[in-house]
Amino acid sequence: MPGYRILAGDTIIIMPVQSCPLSPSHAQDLAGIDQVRVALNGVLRGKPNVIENVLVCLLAQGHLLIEDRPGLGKTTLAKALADAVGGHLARVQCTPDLLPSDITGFSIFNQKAHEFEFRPGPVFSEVLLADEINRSTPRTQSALLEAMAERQVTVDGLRHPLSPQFLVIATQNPHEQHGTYPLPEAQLDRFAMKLSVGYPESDDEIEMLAAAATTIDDREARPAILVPGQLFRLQQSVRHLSIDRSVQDYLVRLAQATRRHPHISLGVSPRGLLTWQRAAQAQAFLRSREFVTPDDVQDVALPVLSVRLGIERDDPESIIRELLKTVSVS
Amino acid sequence: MNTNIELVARTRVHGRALRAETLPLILSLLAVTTLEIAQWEAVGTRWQIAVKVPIIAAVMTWMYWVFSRWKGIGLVPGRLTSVLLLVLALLPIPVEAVQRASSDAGNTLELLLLAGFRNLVCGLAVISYQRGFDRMCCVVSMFLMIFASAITSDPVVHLLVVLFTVCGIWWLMGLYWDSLSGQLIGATQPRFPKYFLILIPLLLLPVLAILPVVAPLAARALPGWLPSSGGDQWNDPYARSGVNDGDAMVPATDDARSFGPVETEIFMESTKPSLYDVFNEMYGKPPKVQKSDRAIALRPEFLKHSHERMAKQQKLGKQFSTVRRARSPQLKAQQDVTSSALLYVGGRAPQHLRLEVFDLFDGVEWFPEELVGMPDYLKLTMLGQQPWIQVPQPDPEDVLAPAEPHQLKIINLQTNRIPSPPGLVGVHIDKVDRADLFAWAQNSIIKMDRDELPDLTVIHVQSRTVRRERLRETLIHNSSGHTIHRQVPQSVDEAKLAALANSWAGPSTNPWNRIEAVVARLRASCIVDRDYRAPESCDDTVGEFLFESKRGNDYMFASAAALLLRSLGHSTRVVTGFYVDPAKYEQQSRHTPVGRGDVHVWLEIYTSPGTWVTLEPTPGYEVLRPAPNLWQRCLQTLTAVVMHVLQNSWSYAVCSLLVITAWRFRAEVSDRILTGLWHLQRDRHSRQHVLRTLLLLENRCRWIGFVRGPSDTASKWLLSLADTQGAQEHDVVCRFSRMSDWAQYAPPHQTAIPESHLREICHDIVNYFTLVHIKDLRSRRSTRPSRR
Repeated sequence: MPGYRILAGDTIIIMPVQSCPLSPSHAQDLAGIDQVRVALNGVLRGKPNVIENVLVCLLAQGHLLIEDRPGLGKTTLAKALADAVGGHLARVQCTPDLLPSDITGFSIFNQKAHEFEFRPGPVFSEVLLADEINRSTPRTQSALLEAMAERQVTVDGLRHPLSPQFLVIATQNPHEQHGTYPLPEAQLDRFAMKLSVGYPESDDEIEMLAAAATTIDDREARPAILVPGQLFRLQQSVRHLSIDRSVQDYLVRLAQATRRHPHISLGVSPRGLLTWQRAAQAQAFLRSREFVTPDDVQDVALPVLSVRLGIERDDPESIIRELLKTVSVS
Repeated sequence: MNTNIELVARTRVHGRALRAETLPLILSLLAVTTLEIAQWEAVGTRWQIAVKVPIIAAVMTWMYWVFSRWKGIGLVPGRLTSVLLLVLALLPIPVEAVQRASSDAGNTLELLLLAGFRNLVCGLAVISYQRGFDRMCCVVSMFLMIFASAITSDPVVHLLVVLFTVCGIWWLMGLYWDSLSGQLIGATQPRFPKYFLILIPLLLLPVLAILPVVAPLAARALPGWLPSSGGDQWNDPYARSGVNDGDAMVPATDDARSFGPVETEIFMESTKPSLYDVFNEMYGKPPKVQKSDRAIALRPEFLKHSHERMAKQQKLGKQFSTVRRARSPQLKAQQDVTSSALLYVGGRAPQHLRLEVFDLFDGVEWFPEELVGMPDYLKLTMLGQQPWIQVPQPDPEDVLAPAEPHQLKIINLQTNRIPSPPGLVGVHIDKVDRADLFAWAQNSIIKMDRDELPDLTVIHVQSRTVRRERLRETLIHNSSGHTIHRQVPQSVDEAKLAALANSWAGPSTNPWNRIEAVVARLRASCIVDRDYRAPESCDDTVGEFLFESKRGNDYMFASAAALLLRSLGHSTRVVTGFYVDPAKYEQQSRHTPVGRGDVHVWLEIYTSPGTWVTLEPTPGYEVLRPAPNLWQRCLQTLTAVVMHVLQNSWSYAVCSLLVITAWRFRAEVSDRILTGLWHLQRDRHSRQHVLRTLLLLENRCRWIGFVRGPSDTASKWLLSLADTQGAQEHDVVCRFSRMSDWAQYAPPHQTAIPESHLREICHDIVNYFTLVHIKDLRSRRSTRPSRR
């Protein structure tokens, strides 16, 4: 649905289309994204804001960490997203005995050819779903560092490039502590966003039950919505969105504020700042705007910052909102 | 793990304590106080500092409190702050220019620069809650502290320097700790070393020990580095660093260049009849002394030999107690500076300086009082290693105020009498420790046992003024013991005079009230005419003055008052001398020049044994009252303000009305003006037009109370402002908010919508969001979501 969207609180205001300065290719790409949005909303009911942030993360070429209680649709959302964007989906169920080579792949000696040949692991896919990521050991978690940051893996001294659309969707349950290994800061900083799905509203749950009562459980993969290369084109379009110097200045001041805040022990890193800017560009793109405003920066601040800030209190959201309120826009 | 957690918690507590946000404010207050004390030597008094510094501190603290509250609601210093700080720093320059143009007063270049620094420090201190400004505040405060402490030798400043150092170290440690706490996470948590609290005083002890030695050295060494007026390069009239730097007259300690009315440890050979004499064993032709007179013998080491001609400084410059710099030998010769003043008087004015007392009047002429009953020689007492001639001043009725000092700097006064203020209690001349050099000239008038007072001599006198309100409660003694003081000449019609005096004295039975009433009526009834002379044939000049001409010179007023009071039975006498006119006070030299035109005649009335009270019957002349205390000064200021307001009540009423009206309708008036300008101004670029429209809307909302928060973008703020019930209005707001985003953040090449459409939307939003509409919106909303 092309148009100009403005997020005011929890409501999305759709602006008149006729005055929206959209190029034809931009409008066509947005139509594809709208279809993805509709598909995801069909899978995860009553969570439009979560879906919007997932789309932002997708367009910003970032990796996603979904953190919530069991049974709230984390894996469903990840699978639906993988289906929608097309490409190969690989799933890894993280356990303490999972080895790094189970993720990256390994070399095996071929008796016929008398040489070692590389057997690629699940990272050689478009979407990698790492379920319960905090159940794997730090050693195994570290196997993802290179893949997430540089979209490549190095095995036996050989560099193996990954897909340019490579996307990691990791889930974790924060409420179970036994047998889990908290993700290190270096790992967290490689995720673009952290999202919580949360329980659906009553109406949405009734609707969900009604749909489930009559629908046959279809375990077949859904057809891809985006054509091959379309996601990459969309991600490239996001990169070309203009961002004014004053908005960049605002971003830097916000980042500096996170580094000086008394309750934040670890502020935003330069890598985090770059991710934040890209997420803001993606947000502007989703709002059919060809430039970024401070509103975009503010709207993606919570998921972008909550994954990477070392906040000492139990309520990181209030601290992030306080930061946004104290730093001047201009 | 548990230990780690404990350490983290402890570290946080210490870190919070060290990050005391008020330390920059305290440092700035210490620096400003130091500067005020340093300035005191030049332009102020102790009590002025005692009043000024707390006021400055209170204002700064209050403003800091207000601004820090603004921070709490999201207001932070913007770009305008830097401009305001710059204006504050440069403000002393135009003020100084105005001051110099309007009066003789002026400040030296270094004080001017320091005043700029002080303003900057004050400005930074009130916004020091903001990160960045606090550091700048501390750095500038440190500069101010160094400069201010270098130009003064006041011991209080040493204490302030120590305090500043302690607070500065504390602040630096907090800053360091602050930076550590942001970097060290998790495993290694440094513990704040408590022994530092003990170590700080130990570290400060050596500083305290060497401070008295280092401070003077620094004062000598730093002038080359500190901004300074004058120096060796040019002559600044307001400079404060000695000869050739400016007009300041500094006591010589090393290299005297001229004779002047200052007290110094260096004496040069002179052909004048000096008050001091030194035995000179040097070979060579002795200077030819024009005239010899009695002198005080000094030790030979006081004499400084110079083969150059010594200039003579008769005009006073500013005086400072700074250490004089060592001079280079290539100094140009000093020129004589002449003055028409007979003497300069330092101290409060107006003041009467008595030279001669007259008691006998024959109707035409006054005759001097004879010296009767006074001891031959005066008593000399050493007070604080200074020789003082003490004059007994009995005060049985407790009507005299505490002694008050005055300095008389003799320039061209050709008399041996010391001009003595009424109530004289002591006389001191530097190094003159022989009582036989002084003698009584007349009752309560001292002279030197020489032909005349030596030029350029500084005479210190102490006197006690009369608390006149006490005289109303005390018994006025009519008789001084000498009938001559109550004698009315035969040529005067005493009955007529007494009748006039009684009628002027009024119905009051209080003697002092009657005396004051007579003097007041005389001042009101007759006018001063310097050119009027009584006919030569007249043998009753007072009668002619009082009953016929009613005009005359000051001696006629004094004579008439003396006889009127004598007719009432009081003892009076007429005094001639000098009147120290406060209107002639020179701000620059802080002295009042007394010239030939200040010769004046007045009278004194006997009130109790040994006490003669000055009365001033001539209009335009006043008598020195006891120095008011702080409360009285405040009261006088308040009274003066109230009187001024009452005298100009109509002007103030009209102005107040205008101000109240303007304040009441400030929003409407400002909006009309800004809207008119918005209509008139044709922007060349669409973006400018949109931004100006946005600014107009923001101003309107600010006047009503809808203030955009600093973290709100214009579009979000506009959407929150829009009335969601009106679809058309909402549509206009949405369109304009989008345009405001475009105008602020879109790249230059990106166009929005056609120009005509854009201007139409701007026009619509200005018409929708009128002041009335915004007021209506506000009243409809019980809560104000965008009010910060």
